Amino acid sequence: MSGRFVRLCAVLVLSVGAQSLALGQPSAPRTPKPTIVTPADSALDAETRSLATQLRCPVCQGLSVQDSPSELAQQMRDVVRQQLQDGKSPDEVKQYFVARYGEWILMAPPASGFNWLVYSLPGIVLALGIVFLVVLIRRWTSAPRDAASPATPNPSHTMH
Amino acid sequence: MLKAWNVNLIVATFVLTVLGTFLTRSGILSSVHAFTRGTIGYYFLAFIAIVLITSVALVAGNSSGLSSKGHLDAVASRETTFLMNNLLLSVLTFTVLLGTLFPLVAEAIRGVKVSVGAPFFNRMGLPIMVATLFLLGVGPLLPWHRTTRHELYHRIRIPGAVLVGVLIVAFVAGVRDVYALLAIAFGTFALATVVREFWRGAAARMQSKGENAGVALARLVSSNGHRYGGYVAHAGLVIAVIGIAASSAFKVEREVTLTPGQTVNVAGITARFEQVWGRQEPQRTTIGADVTLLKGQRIIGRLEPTQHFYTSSEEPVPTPAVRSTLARDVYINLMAFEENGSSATLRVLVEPMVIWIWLGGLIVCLGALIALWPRRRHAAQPVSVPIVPGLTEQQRKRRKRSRSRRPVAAGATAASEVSS
Amino acid sequence: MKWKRGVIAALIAVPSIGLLGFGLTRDPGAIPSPLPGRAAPTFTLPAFTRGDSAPPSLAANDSVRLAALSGDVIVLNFYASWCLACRDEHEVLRSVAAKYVGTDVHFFGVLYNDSPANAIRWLGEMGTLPYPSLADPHSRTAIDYGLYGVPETFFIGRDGRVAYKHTGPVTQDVLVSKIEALRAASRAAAGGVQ
Repeated sequence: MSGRFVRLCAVLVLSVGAQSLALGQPSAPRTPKPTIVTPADSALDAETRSLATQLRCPVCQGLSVQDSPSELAQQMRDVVRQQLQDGKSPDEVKQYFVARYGEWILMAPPASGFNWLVYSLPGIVLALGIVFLVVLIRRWTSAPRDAASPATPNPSHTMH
Repeated sequence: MLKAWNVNLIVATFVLTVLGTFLTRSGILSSVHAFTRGTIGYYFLAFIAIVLITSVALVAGNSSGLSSKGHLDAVASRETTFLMNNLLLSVLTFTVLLGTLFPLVAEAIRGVKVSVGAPFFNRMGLPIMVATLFLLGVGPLLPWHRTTRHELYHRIRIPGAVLVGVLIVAFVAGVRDVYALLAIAFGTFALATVVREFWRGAAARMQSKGENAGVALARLVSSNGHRYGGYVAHAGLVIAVIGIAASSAFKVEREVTLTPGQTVNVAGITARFEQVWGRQEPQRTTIGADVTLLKGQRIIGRLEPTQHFYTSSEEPVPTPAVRSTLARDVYINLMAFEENGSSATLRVLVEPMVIWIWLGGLIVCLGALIALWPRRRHAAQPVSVPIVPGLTEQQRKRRKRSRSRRPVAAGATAASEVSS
Repeated sequence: MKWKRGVIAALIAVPSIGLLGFGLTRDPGAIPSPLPGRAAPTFTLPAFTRGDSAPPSLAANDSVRLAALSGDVIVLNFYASWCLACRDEHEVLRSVAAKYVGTDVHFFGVLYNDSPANAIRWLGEMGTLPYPSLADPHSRTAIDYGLYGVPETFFIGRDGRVAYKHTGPVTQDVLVSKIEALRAASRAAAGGVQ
C-alpha cells in the first residue's frame, strides 16, 4: 500500500506545485487546445464492451468486467480486445477465461447440463400457472351465481 | 376469491423479507449488497426456520376456513386480468429468488461455483415485465363482470391505434431492441387508456352537471379518489417504464484518454478535460478530474469525477459525476490517470430520459396520495360513469341490492351504500 | 387433509433451510481453480531482481522461460508490495526456498499490479529472497493463471502440469509437503507433457 501512497503524494505535490507555478506567472487566460478526440466506436469496441459485460470481475463483488473500475478488470478488457482483434470468436474468448477461472467467471451460467434448470424453470412455472388459471377460470365461470363469495368488488367506485 | 392464495402470498412476503436480510448479513452470497460475515447467520437461519415452519403450519391448519368458492361472469373481464397479473408477478418473484439462490444450489449439487448476474435477470425478467405492462393497459379497458364484443371494440380502438402508431414511430426512430419497442408501445397504450378514462369521466360530468373542464376533472378525482388515484399511479408507472426503456435503448458510452484541453464528443454533448487534481483528507486521498461540458460552444456544466483511495482498502472507490436534465443524464467516470497529470482516461455515458424514471415514481406516490386521501361522506349521489352500458335499470338495481347485503369494507364503499 | 398440507409444508421448509444452512458453511469468496491437472500456462517474463542465490546462468533482466525448465519442480508465487497477507508468508518462502537452492526445485516470485521499484524496496524491508522475482506488466500471466487475488502460489510438477494452487499465505507444511510429493514423481514418468 505504501507504493500507491507515494504515487498519490506525487500527484498532490505536482498539482500543488503547478498551482504555485501558475501564481508566479503573469496571469493569462488559459486557452484550451482545440483538439477534439473522436473515439472511433468501431465494431471492435462495441464487441469488447458487449463481451466485457458478460464476464465477471474476479476482484469485485458481483460487478462485470465492463463496469468494474479495478486494474485487473481493465487488464481483462485489454485481453478481450486483443483476442477479438486476433480473430477469436466471442465464445472462444469466453472459453479462455472459463478454462482459467471456472464457470464462475461468466455473469450468467452457460446454458448446458444442470444449468438448464435455472433457464427453464421460470417458463415451466409460468406455463403451469397459466394451465392452473385456465382450469380455475373455467370452474368459476360455470359456477352458479349464488355460490359466489360475497367478496366480488364494487365496480363503479373502487379500482379493485 | 383466492383467500388461501392471498394468505400464502402474505406469508411468503414476510419470509422473503427476512430471507433478504439474511442473504446480505450472513455472507453466504458475494454481491455488492452483501456485507459482514459473522455468526449472525446461524441465528438468522434459526429465525427463518421458526417463521417458515410456524406460518406454513398455521396456513395449512386453517386451510378449510380460508377456502372460498369463486365466481367469474366472463373470461374477458377485469377479474381475469387481475388473476393474470397475480400470476405474472408471482412468477417474477420466483424467478428472482431462483436466480439469487441458484449459485448455492449448483454448488451443493455439482460442487461447481457459478454466477447468476444481470444478464440472467434481464433475460428472464424483461418478458414478464413487458407482459405485465400490457395487462396494465388492458385491465382498465375491460369492465367488471362481463362485456360485449361491440363494447370491447369501442373501448379498445383509440388506445389500440395509439399502440400501433407508437410502435411504428419508435421503430423508425431507431429502436430495434424488441423489449424496448414493446415497452414503449405498451406503455403508451396504457397511458392512452388512462387519458381516455379521465376524458370520459370529465365529459360525463360536464354534460350532466354543466361544469367546465377544470372543475369537472377536480370533482371527478375528489369523488372517485380510489379509482382515479389508481389511474394516476398507472400513468406514473408507465412514465417510469418509458424512461427505463429509452435510457437503455439510446444509451451511448465511450471511453477515451485525454490530455488537458482535449475534448470528446458523445451524442451531441462535448466534454473537455481540464486537469487532474489531488486532495488529502483524514481518512482517504481523493484524486479528481475537472471536466467541462459543452453543447456546441456554450458551457452547460462542470463535472468532477473522482477516485477515493482509502487506507484500508486496496481497490480505489470511484465516484462518477453526473449531470441530470429532463432530456438526458451525462455520467463521467475517472477510469485512470497519469501520475503527473498529463492525461486521464474518462468514460462518458449519455443516457436519455433518466429523470423520467424518478418522476414516474413520484407520480405513483401522488396517485397513492389521491387514492388514500380521506373523503367526506357526502349524501349526494356521485355520478357513476356507466361501465357496462348494456345493463338495464333492473340489472343495475339487482346489483345494488346484492351489494348492500355485504359487510361494509371501506369508507368509499360505505358512501355508496348510504347514498344508494 | 391436514397431513397432506403438512407434508407439502415440510417439502418446502426442509430443503430451503437445508440449502441456506449449507450456504453458511461455504465461502463465497473461495473460487476453486480449474487449473490443477492442466498444463501450466507458459510464460517468458523478465526478472527485475535476481535474488540472492539465483543460478549464475541468470543475468540481470534476463527472461525466465517456463518451457526451459520442464522436468523440474517449480513453485510460482504471485505477490505484491501492497498486499498485507503476502507479508505473512514471506519468511516461510524465504527459509524454505533457501533449503532448495541448487536442487531441481525452482522458486519464482511474480509481481502483480505493482512496480518493480516498489517491490525492490519492499524486499529490502522484508528481507531479500534467494530466488528471482519476475515482472508481469499487463497481468497477462496473472490472468493466464486465473489469478483473482494475492498471494497465490502454484506448484508445477515435472510433467509441466499445475499440481496444486494455494490461495492465501502459504505455510511451511503445505510448501514442503507439496514440493516433496512432486519431487518424488519420477523423471521418466514425466515424458515431457506440456
